[in-house]
Amino acid sequence: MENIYLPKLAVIKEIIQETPDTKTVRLTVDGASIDYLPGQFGEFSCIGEGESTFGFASSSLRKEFFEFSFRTSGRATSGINSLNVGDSIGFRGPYGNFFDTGKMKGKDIIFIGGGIGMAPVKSILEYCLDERNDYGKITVLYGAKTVMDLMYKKAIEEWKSFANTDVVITVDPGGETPDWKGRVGFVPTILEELPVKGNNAVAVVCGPPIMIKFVLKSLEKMGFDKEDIITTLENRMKCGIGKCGRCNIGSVYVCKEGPVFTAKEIEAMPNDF
Amino acid sequence: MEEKYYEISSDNIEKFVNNLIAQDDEVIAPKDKDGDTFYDKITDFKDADLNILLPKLSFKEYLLPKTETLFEYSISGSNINILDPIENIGADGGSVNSGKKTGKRIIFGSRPCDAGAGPIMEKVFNWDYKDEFFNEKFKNLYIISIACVQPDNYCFCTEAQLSPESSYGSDILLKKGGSGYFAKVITEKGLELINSSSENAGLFKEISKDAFPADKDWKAAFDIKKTQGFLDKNFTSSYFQEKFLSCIGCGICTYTCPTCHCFDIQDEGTNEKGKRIRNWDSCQFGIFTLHTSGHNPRVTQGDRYRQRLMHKFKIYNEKFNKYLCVGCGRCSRNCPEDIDLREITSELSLMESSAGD
Repeated sequence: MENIYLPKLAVIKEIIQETPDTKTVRLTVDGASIDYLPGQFGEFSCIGEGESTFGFASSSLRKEFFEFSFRTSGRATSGINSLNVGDSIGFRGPYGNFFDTGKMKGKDIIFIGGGIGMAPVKSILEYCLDERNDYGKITVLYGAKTVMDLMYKKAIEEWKSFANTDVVITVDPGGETPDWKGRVGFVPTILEELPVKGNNAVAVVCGPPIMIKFVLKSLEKMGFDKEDIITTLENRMKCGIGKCGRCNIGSVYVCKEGPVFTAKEIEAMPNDF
Repeated sequence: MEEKYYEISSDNIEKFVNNLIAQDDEVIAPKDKDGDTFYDKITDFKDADLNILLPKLSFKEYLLPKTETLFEYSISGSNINILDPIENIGADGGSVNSGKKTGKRIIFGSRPCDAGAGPIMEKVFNWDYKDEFFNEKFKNLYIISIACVQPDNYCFCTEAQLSPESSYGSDILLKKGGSGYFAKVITEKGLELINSSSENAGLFKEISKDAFPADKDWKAAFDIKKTQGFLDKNFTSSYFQEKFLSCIGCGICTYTCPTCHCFDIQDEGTNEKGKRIRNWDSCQFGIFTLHTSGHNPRVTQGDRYRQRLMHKFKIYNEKFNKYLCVGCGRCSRNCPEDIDLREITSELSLMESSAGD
């Protein structure tokens, strides 16, 4: 009999302090990554403190490790925050659906991330960059509240090094520092200023619910078809496998039928997220 | 299996239940506790209080305990040891040395509504991922129900697609009559109880189907499909916000509900040893859906009770073609604000009817 709540133990290989309160943790199981796809999520835990839901932040094509990012906030994340390289993290997953990369091939893609919502965007972005020639022009728009809150600084430099790839970083008005060289403005505002068009293009979006709602409107204005706008929703989850009963939006269980949805699918949902 | 029918006298039902107790099975029945009745372990037939309509709580906790250990852990340095309890899960809810010979847990004197809750919850615990914690307890739970004669004003099992005489979810259904009871045996598990000894088998006299008393013509006072119809179309209705202004969000409706199964997962212990447990949770609590960011998809008590209605009469039905409600009325009887689910489902049904005219 299988215990579906039993975690595997994943070993911490590396910890990246992204901002004062966020970290990215690189993990292995039996010395390597696990099988998953961008968009999927897992249940990660500090054994003894608790379990939390995080999307994968790494490209699944990189086999040496898998990663997730978290903000230290409650008991479970404080526990994870206290762990060091060599310690173990409880892991269940991968769960949920994933980005349809087949549908994205040959097209221009704009990746839009807000705050820690950039984590699952990073996973599919780096997956596409790992097979760069399969895709058209890539634009990345990443926004954080303040300069201090910007994650993935090292990864951003890597993204910029790819051909035919534009990376635009913005902070909310008031979040800039005197020497800030990036953009200042909310993500939807900056988005509408970008030279991106909706024909033969796909948009990937993740961020706070309020950002997602406005970004979807902006993208439609820019000519994106609702089926070509793909977002990943994060709702509070406990089990991750359709039993604990809290992640649903109307009849849709985010953990089972999501977390990846098109704007068309989201349009059909009640305003319950 | 093909249903079988029996007659059994009052004296013999007492012998039968006492034999089941003596066979070292755990027998649970409605039992008086300081003036209220709860499903609890009995050591003699006379402990059972069969004169009340419904125990205060259902026997949900025998399928989904209020607190259940998912695994135990011990930590020394970087070394974590995880102990999986799954192989030792039995009718006793997971303790390794139950001392039971058979592992069976028998509910005697269940009501048809409570019996119906097991197979309804079972679907949730088995779509895709199989929850063996639930399954093992469900497999070992034997249910002998006694049909109700007269539902009260909070009951709406007939509207919820069962009835006071429904055998859905029961292994044996008893109806009062004749020299004591008539028995309908619905499942192999029911037959197993009757044939558990030659003495037990001798207590039951097989009769023809025709000799078993027919169900009364229970009539639904409203059409629950129309309740679902309203919910399908009216997510943003002001009904929800207005109706539940009085709700204090205590969650008693969900805790006393035989089919509410939502749970929380928490770690309990020290940084050396402890366990991961799941506890009953409630969609009526704000924290149930609260995001780490502070965003909450369900802000008002109206949003939360709407979710409860949606889950029971729309969402579950879309997935499993049944309602996540057995119409027992406990949520209403126990509500400190007298929020009455029968009244609500009836109102929504009527609103749907008049909208269709």
